[in-house]
Parts: sequence; structure tokens; C-alpha cells
Amino acid sequence: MLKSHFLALLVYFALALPVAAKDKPKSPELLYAEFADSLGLENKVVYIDFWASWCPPCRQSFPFMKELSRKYGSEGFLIIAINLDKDQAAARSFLAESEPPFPVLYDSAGTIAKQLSLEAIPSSFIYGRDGTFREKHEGFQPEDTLKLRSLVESLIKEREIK
Amino acid sequence: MKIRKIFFLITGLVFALNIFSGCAPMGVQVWERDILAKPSMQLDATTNDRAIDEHIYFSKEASSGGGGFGGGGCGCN
Repeated sequence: MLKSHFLALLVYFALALPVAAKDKPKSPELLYAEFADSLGLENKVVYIDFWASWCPPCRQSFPFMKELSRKYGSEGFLIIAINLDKDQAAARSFLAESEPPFPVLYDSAGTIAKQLSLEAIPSSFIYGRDGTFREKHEGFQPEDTLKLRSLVESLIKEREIK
Repeated sequence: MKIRKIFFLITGLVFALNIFSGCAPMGVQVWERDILAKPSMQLDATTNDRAIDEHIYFSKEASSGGGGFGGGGCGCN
């Protein structure tokens, strides 16, 4: 009797293991590594932004990101926007209006967002030229631009110091 | 007998924990709030309609309160 219960418990754990292992958490460093080769991130200051077209602060952040990209793009600054809309058409319609000068990727199923356990959108991950993760920024308010801009500027200058 | 009791207690605890933890991921994730973010999904989406409804209720029932505005309940306005 006891033996069969023990066996049932073992089977239960064996079945539960693959479910638990399915969504492995992803660190910001792994997020960077995922795009490092395909998008040529080497020696670049990288700003990865998670956004959705239905999120007003995300939409508000686009003019700022566009400005950053235009101003510092030639100095080795790259923005990668990852869209989280389930309906990609809504995102494309916003992008047609906004015309961002940076690449936009799609995570419609929220796989990466889930692995990173995002708690807010927009969420931005900022990396230095050496690929080290420097800052995570959640939400977007006009007053955030000062802090973000100075951080990006200081990261861009890092190579000049070396 | 004692070992069996402990075994059943542990098994029960494991299953109870499993059942309770099953409720943990049920919340809507931030990237899943597209429909909830629509203005029509707000609890107070039609503010004017709600104010009119409340005024009608207040005038007909001669009572107010609990609706977010003050008043004596005379039903005169």
C-alpha cells in the first residue's frame, strides 16, 4: 500500500518536472547573447525595448527612441524594439505611422517576455559596448528621458576613454 | 503505522501546495493586457453616462450616497 503510494508520488514528480523546466528564466545577458550575432551588436551600445502598440507610454517613448537613434546611430548606438502585440497588424499600423529608424522584432506569443519575467511595459535593457548589462528601465515618462539620455551618452563615450 | 501517517501527511502537503501554487500564474501578464487596456474596458469608461444614471437614481429614490457624491437625499435636484 505504502509502496504504491510512493510510486504514485514518484510518477507525479516525474510528470511535473518537464512542466517546471519548460519556461526557463532568461537573464538580460542571455537576451543580449541571443541577438549578438544576428544583429551585429559587437562594440555597440545596445538599447533593447519591449513595447506594445496598445500601451500609451510605449507609444510616447517612440519619438524619444527615434531621436536617440538618429542622433547616436552613427556613434555605435543601436535600438532593438521587441513588439509584444498579439495582433501584429496593430503593431505594423503604428510602425507605418511612426517609421522608426531601428529594427523591430516580434514576440507575439510573449515567449521572451515571459522568460525575462517582465513586470512592466515598456521595459528597456541597456548594454555597454562590451555587451555588459548596465540598466533596466521600466515604464516611460517624459522626465525619464534625461536620465536615459545621459546614460546612453556616457556609454557611448566609454570607448573614447579607453 | 506512524511512518504511514507521516507519509500521508507529506503526500497531502505536496498535493495541497501544488493545488495552491496552481493559482499563482493565473494573473494576466503585462504583455497580455491589450484588450484590458482599451478605453471601453475601463470600469469608468463612460463617465458622463454614469453621472446621469446616478443622478436619475438619486432623484427617483430620494437617497444618495455610495455613489461618489454628497447630498441630503431630499430628491429635489
